[in-house]
Amino acid sequence: MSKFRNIIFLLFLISQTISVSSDDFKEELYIKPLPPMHLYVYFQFITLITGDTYEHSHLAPRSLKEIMSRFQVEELHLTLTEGQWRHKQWGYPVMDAAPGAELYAWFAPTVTDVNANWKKLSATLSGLFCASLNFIDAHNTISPKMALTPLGAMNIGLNYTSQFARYASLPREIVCTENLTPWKKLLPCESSHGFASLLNSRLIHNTNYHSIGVHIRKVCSNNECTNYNFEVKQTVALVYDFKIINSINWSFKLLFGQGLFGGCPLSSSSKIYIDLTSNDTLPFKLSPKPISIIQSQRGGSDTLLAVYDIKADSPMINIGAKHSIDNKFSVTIPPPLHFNRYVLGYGKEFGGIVTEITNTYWAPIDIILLENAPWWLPIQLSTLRINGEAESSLILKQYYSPGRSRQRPYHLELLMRLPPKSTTTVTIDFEFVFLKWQEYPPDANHGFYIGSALISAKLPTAKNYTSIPVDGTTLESVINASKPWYPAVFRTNGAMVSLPTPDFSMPYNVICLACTVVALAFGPLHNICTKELVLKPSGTPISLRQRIINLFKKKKD
Amino acid sequence: MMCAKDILQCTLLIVSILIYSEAIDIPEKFQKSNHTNNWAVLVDTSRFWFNYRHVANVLSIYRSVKRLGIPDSQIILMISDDMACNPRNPRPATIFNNAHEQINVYGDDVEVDYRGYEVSVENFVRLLTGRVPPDTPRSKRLLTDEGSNILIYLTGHGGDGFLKFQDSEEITSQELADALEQMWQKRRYNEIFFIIDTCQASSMYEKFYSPNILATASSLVGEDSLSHHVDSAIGVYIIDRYTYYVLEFLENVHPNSKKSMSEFLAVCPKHACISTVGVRRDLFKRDPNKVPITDFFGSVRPVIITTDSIDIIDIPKRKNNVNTTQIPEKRAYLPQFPVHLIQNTV
Amino acid sequence: MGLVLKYVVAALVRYWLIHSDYWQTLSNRVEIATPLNSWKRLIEGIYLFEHNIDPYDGDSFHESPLLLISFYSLLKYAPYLLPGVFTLIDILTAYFLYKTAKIFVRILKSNQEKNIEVISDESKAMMLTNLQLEEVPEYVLSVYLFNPYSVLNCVGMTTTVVQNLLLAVSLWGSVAGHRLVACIFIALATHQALYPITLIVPISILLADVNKGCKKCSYIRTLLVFILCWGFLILTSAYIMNGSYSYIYNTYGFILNVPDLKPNIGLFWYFFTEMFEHFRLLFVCAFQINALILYVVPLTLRFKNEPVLLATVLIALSTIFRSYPCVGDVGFYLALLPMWKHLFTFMQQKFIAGCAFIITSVLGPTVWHLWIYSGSANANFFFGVTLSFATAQIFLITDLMFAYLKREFTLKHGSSRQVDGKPAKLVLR
Repeated sequence: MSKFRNIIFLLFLISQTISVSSDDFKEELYIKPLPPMHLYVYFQFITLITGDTYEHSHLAPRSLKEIMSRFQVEELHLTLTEGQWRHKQWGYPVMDAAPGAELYAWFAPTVTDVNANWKKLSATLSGLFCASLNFIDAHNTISPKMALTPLGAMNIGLNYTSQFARYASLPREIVCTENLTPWKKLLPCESSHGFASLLNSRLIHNTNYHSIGVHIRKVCSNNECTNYNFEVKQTVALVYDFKIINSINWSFKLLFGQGLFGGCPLSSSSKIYIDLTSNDTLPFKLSPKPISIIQSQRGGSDTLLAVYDIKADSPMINIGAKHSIDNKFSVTIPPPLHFNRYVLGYGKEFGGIVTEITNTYWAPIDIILLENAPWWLPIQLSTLRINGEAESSLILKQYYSPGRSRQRPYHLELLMRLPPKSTTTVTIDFEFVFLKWQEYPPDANHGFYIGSALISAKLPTAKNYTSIPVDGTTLESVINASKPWYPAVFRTNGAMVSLPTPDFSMPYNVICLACTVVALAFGPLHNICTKELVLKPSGTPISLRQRIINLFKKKKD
Repeated sequence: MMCAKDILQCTLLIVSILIYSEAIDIPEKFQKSNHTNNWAVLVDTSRFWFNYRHVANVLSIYRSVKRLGIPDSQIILMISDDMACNPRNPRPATIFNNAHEQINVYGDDVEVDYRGYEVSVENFVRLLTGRVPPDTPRSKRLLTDEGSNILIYLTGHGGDGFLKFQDSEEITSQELADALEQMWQKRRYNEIFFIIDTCQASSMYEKFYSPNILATASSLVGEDSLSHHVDSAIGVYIIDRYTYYVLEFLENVHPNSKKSMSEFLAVCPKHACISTVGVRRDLFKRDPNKVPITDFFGSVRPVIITTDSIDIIDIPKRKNNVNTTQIPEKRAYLPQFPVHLIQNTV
Repeated sequence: MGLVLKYVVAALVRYWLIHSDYWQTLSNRVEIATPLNSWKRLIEGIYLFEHNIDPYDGDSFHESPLLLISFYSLLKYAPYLLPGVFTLIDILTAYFLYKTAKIFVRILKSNQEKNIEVISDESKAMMLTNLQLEEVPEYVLSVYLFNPYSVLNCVGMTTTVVQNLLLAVSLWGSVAGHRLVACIFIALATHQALYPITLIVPISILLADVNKGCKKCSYIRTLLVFILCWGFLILTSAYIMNGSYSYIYNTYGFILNVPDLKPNIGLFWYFFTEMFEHFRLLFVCAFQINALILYVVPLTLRFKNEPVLLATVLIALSTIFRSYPCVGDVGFYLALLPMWKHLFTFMQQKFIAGCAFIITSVLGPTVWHLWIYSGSANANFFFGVTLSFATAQIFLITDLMFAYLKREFTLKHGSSRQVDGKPAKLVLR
């Protein structure tokens, strides 16, 4: 019996692998120590969909393909992040993400009602990823004008204005196993084989920063770029804290709870890259030895990468690093651009948001700052100050879309040129809004989250820069990829304010009291208007005692 | 070529299902149920860290029904707050039913359908009655029919005749009864097994008037439903008594189990629960003694084996989209920064 | 000489306070600045307008386009004049109130002479003497110039300062019989704040009374001129906004629909904060009817012979019940009260109302600080204070009307309260 069953299962598998032919799946792992105390681990799983029909799905998740075709999405980025990436200390990640949930997409120019498609898209994704993305609505969505550019290959003939772009972030969103579970199910090997088997939820949530993402874009399929393929990139970014894992020497068993049992059999390449650049300051030894060590020169910064090529039938591998005992004290050199954001003011009446952007480079850097304030935090553009000045020559271009209560957020974009070796402070004031009592969340006094600001930069140097160039898909394309300048989109830290709250327990009292006061006016006015003054004989004044006696007398009757 | 392959796959799949299903047969002593599918609606209505135990409660039931065979797509799990990845949880991504960390009820494979602020009275009633907004994804809909057996489990803070949601609003027993009646009128269920673990829990099912509902509650009116024990590592009570014993019982149930519903109803005697477990049988037509527990907690489906030949007709191919006939357009990667704006201004 | 001194002192106080360090605090006080009239919002609107962003696109500006364009040009060409301009506007308001009171005194006197035959003999002593009447305008002037409410309003540089001037000029225009002036200014005031629309009733009565002749024709003419002016203003505003009428939603719509629930001294904010969403529309309608039209017809029928009293009462009532009142509005109608100085002896609740005014004025800022800054009180405290402030105002106004009725009765029937030689009580029937 069981033999027969096995044969059927085998047949089933074979029939599956026949159809695999057209899609391409790659998995990559990038590990970079962030001295002194952290370790950056970045997984990326790339599925290239070469078939252009939506009816057949081979390696790529059918659900995502359907979403793309149904809502006519050109490009989609979704990240679910817990924790804050510290740019000043850690440098730049391969892909930055805002705390909480962040979703942005470009729709095809043929879409007539972008807002309706956006709403449906977010609702569908909320079901797919078990996240509250259905809270994305007109009142927290903006259409970025300058800060975001599609990563994919776009049709030259058509005009992709920002009206087809939508951006929303939910800073309150929590990220946990329930998001990782459906995310893993989109992978061809799910979590049973390959790099995804390392994603043990108990360990990866015990990090300083964890972010899962899905990025779908269109990539050129030939040199002329007359045809395109969909690229589905699923990413996981983790920052381990050596204090939490209790050791400065790391290994897969320590980080993920197990070694790696080969790559995913369906992947065309499974590679692990370990950044050895920090070896100079904090020397460590890798075990087992890498297959090769590549030196990459990119924009004036040298990077040493140790490469492991994992085959599906490789034996269990437990890559680890051992640090030599003589720990040198190292000073981290901040990246060319870093920033900080905080809220000003005390009390619950007026406040301000400050974004400090530091350019440590010797040349000016052009950036676009996108401030996105929710409707309950009305910012006043007239209070915008750059380094304390109302009129600043640093602003090259400005876009502002004022918010409307309960309808849409405040959206400000500033194209600025940051002078070399300087810190620029952007301050804007806001006023606290008093909401209706039913608009407050159940934990009203927990505070309200303000999303991150977006900073899109044109970096002149690739120092600390690890992003994949726009025309590349794998980490391999990073090697020696020098360009005149390097694009990067960063998210600042979020903030939190606590709005003034009414008394939630007494709506009836308030309604009654206010109506009583109205009645206090209505009564006398009604009397004045409808009655006239007359003299009424009052008789001899009676004493209080007599009055009480009279009262009883009446009762007897 | 493609078609032939598809047919091959289909037949293989059907054969394999048939073979698997042979192994399971329904014990004779049980009354036959005419349900065709099983659903579960599991709701935790409490927010805030100190209500950790309610999340542990609901996840205990989730774990059991999933283990007994109800697929995630047919479980609607509503959790009001994040306990697993809460910053106060020293063991991220875990929720235990016991201070000795015996069972991680959260597990590695969990799908929460409604979470955080989404868990509201409105969403709960909409879910039950099926009156959800048009954009609602499948996983947030209760797509039941007249052949569905539904397990509804509620936990949170309750009072006489109401259950609090998120500490800010409440559903009354009458509203709940009306929602269930609406479900019955819309033929959205075959039978419902209703479990509630709150204080004064039995008050919530007293107003029910729709047929085919078996209801049980952790406490009678006037009684509190008590928690089991505190975990000093996290400083909060870790699970409620009733659900603790329910989980203990369900851990010993397997998909072929011959246990009956009446055994489940007696799972927590007064000396263990301290509160009295209430049961309402009058709306339920079958004898709980003769109802297998898997009618609600599992997903055992009656399988008819046929020896007749089945014609699998060739499915007509869908017409190709216009896409394929489209003239290839020239595409390009855009510069990742609006360089033209800078050039204009400088 | 005394008059000039008053003006100078009042102007200096205002000018100095605007330049003092307190200005920032005062212009942000909830009692002084509401979302409708605050200086901050005005500046934001002008800033957006200057940067070619439609100020009515967002939610930050709710003043009329006319005001926007005038302050825009003022800020652009002579920003240094601003404190002076606000002071001047307030002094002008006081001046026009003074003039109004002067003419009103004349009207009062002539009315008294006209009605001399209905006044009973024993009440002849109550008739107003010239001396009494002469000091009335001075009181009006002093109250407006030195009332802390008006001073703070001016110092806060709210647009209510302009509103008050418009109202004062239109009142002056109507008592002086200048139909066009009255109509243009009341149309301007209506265009700015909507609530002054109720004043068209007393103004048309006044104009008909002052300009002798066909009364009905006068009413119709006044109404026509008013509607024409108002329509013209609406069109001009749309022209300023490049033909867009979206400003209407942001001005009248904002006033009527009360979307911003920032606390103020009125009754709306907490009521609609705590209101259940499905009843909101009903209560918004009820409250706005209460503030706008409910009392106009009955009060007109009752006080058609005393249009100035009608105007005072309507201004006061719309101040109490409007959606975004501020102390500037209160200061304005308080300045009108000295015109009814002769009624004060008949008022019973002067003391209660007066004490309530003082107590709430002190308690308001205190509990606001406790709630918003030190976090040791909650919204109910401030709500309680605003409730008692409204109650005090209601007592004051209803008492004034009762006093008027009592005085009329006394003039007619004598001051002795006796029926057939027996002591009697004055009651409403």
